[in-house]
Amino acid sequence: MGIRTFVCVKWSVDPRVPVEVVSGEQAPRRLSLEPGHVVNVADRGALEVARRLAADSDGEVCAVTVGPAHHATALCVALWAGASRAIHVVTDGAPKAPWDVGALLAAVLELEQFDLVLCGAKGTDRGTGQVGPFLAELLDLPQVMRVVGLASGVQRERLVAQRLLERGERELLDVPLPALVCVLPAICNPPYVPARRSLRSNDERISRIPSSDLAPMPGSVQAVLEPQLVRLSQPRIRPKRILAPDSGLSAMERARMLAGGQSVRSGASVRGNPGKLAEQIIEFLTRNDLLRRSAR
Amino acid sequence: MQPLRETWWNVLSWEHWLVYALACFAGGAVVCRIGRLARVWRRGARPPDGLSAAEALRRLWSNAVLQVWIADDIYAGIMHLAIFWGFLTLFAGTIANSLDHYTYLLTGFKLLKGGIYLGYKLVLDMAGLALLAGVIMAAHRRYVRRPPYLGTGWRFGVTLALLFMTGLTGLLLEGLRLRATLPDWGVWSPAGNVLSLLLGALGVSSASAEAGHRGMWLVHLVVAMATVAGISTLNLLHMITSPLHVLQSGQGRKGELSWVDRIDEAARVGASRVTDLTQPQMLSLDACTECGRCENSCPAFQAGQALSPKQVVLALRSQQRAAGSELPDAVLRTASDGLVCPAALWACTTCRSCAEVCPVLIDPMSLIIDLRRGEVDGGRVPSTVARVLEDCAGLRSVWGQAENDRASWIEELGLPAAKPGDRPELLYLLGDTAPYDLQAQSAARTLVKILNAAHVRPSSFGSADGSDGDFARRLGEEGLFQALAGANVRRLRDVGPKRILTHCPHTFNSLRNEYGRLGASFEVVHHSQLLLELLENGVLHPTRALSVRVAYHDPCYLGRYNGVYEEPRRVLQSLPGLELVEMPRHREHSLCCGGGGGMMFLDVAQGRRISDLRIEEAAALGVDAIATACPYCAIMLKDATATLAAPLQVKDLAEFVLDACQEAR
Repeated sequence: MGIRTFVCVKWSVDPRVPVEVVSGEQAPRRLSLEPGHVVNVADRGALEVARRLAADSDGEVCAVTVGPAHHATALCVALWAGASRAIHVVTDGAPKAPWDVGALLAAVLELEQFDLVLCGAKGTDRGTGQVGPFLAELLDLPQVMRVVGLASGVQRERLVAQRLLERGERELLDVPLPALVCVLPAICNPPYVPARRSLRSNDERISRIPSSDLAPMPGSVQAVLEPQLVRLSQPRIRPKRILAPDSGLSAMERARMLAGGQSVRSGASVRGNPGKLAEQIIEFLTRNDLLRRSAR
Repeated sequence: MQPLRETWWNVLSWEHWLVYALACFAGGAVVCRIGRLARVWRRGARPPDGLSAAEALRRLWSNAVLQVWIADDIYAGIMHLAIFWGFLTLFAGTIANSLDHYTYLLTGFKLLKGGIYLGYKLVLDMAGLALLAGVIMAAHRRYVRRPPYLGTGWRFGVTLALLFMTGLTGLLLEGLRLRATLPDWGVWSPAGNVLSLLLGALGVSSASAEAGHRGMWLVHLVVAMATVAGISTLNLLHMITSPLHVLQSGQGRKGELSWVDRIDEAARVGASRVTDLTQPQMLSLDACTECGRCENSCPAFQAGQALSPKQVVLALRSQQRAAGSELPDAVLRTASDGLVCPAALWACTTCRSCAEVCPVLIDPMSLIIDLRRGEVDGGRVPSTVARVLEDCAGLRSVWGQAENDRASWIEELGLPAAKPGDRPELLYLLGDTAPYDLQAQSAARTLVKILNAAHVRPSSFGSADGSDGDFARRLGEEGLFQALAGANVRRLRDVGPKRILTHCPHTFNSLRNEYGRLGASFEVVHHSQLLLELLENGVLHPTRALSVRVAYHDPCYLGRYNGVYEEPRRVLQSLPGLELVEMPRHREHSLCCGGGGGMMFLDVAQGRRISDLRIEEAAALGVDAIATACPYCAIMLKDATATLAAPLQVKDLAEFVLDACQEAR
């Protein structure tokens, strides 16, 4: 039996449409006559990876989404992209907090058999990136984040995942199944989705479950209130800073620094605990006459 | 003795039966072949529109009988007319002779006698000479001159040889008969008579000629029947398939692509299997005569790119014929190892020159678009195409720029934005190029200045202005086109303009020829037409002499698609001091700029840029500037002048008019 993968997909705002933040308003304005929706970019990558894993191992892909009725379009796209079935947790349309979305997904997946759960790293609307970790926690699954490569392991019960670290460094992990993996959009170039696939919101392969029919999982009922948005604001206009020598230096010292041909760029990489790092940074700045230490 | 023909003269009675047997065999081979092909054609999708009988007959008359395309290539045209009419006349003459013989046997009435018979002989003799002359011309063209777009395979050689031998043995037969019988009316068969005299001069007696006639008759019979049978296997097949295709082809408006109904429910869109092609398309593959005109006129082929429309047709034909019992599931292979490679598929600029020059009305461009649709439907598009389509879907602009930038620029033009119910006299649709490209912005501002000077105050479409969907459609994304077109039609209907002005021929074509499927019926005018109206009505007064030599570049979507050739020329010719020079390839034969069909946004994988060829052509004329009437042409040509460092300006028509009109400047 091949790898059985569940892919969590989201019907999300089109990231190409620019938004305008107006100070004091509660929500950004979308600058489009007819702002469109698409399957979340990272989720499309997840679907393609799932399809490839299923093709390699003779497995199956199931797509799942949480949202109001018209969000089924995301599942129609997923079915075109290679999923063999889909589950739609139908909600009433009010925005759901990431924890609640995770809880609903967990309630569905708890009833299913799977080897792997794939999520996009974050959505293009709120971008919290929390649903995946919440879901992994509720299902008690090992989780791997920021994955840019995923392949079958030598053993059927394991996968090899490549994580993207800062500065482009990579980390190779051996992942035991079942597991939850959050993928970055860079994981692959998914195939283009024909526009007509986004015109459908119905397919006989979609199973619909009203969210009210799902029993909450133990520990999934959250007592903590979600943070509430108060207002948005634009960045303050700041004058451009021009790097200049410390004004505490004498005019001669400053002129020498500016005209004296200090053409060598110097830098250093420091490691250590925060206290030690602060000392090393201060010492560097002082040594390069960028910081004048006051006498104590 | 009155002139008449003894039908079976010098033919033994068992040889009569040989004629019938071979005729049945040859005719049967043709009928069986056509029957098998027709069974394949009928597996194709039904085309949505039918053609009226009157229109079908008109096309048959002009294309198959008169062969009006002779004017395009005089040599090939005369050659083909000679072969076609020569062979047809001889064939009809043989049938007429047989019918006359059996009519006489049954009724005692004989038509082919006296003056009628003499005329009949003269016509057949001339037909035989015409056939021979045509075949010699064809052989010279194909095997001596060897143009690159003509194949030299054995099939063509065998075809020409069979035709030649049929004509030659027929004339020899006539000469031997005349030598043997020495009738008084021999001069009415001029060629046969010359041969007869030659045989006499060589000392061939009447008895020897009669014996020779018997042998030559068998040779002629076999060769002629082989030629008829060859219709089923050699490229003579087009004698039947081409007229059939002419009767079925071109059922939509020129400039309009086929519509896909209920696209959200369709199992497949485009052609990913052989039977996804329509019946006329499948017939067209077998109707191709392999003349190479499409290849010769294709700008991508001329630029050394991977595309040849002829090879696309032949590749599809090969797949269709090879599919055999695998129909209807046989998949059209378009992978890099397939017969239609992606580089060719995505090199088409949709200029329509291939469809324009095809003598049997095949439309290779529509085949390519259907293949593209199949690729898009399967998600198999190059990344650059995907990006353009996604930008078009998200931002209603192929340029990937924000809608608010577009709206604010349109506002800067100072045109009032039309609101629902306004019903403006003239609505200026700027589309999704003018707001973002500097060259197109300049042309649009210029046009607005001219219109202001002419006291014409159009409204703009405001923030509703955007992509007309043309590029999406030509790239094969039919769903996106229908979505954009549907939204545009709804908004335009809400505004209710009496007339729509556009300076983009692509928008002009979409509104005029393609939006009608959505119930739109707007009066659309291209800015070249409006400028001509203003000039001819005396509203604009071009008084400033320009002193400039200008070549006019015909945009494909204005010229070939919509037949607008005269208006831009008359606009330019009305400007004082402007000398209009025609490009070597102009009007219907205009060389594409290379930007259409989405090619504006794709890299050239192999060969040269098409726009470079056009600029070289213009530079060779020694003109100062190129005038055009399309923002995409302007972008492509201006880019090419910079690349080639050509001393040429590229300007929109409106910019020349503004230069010449004192009051508008």
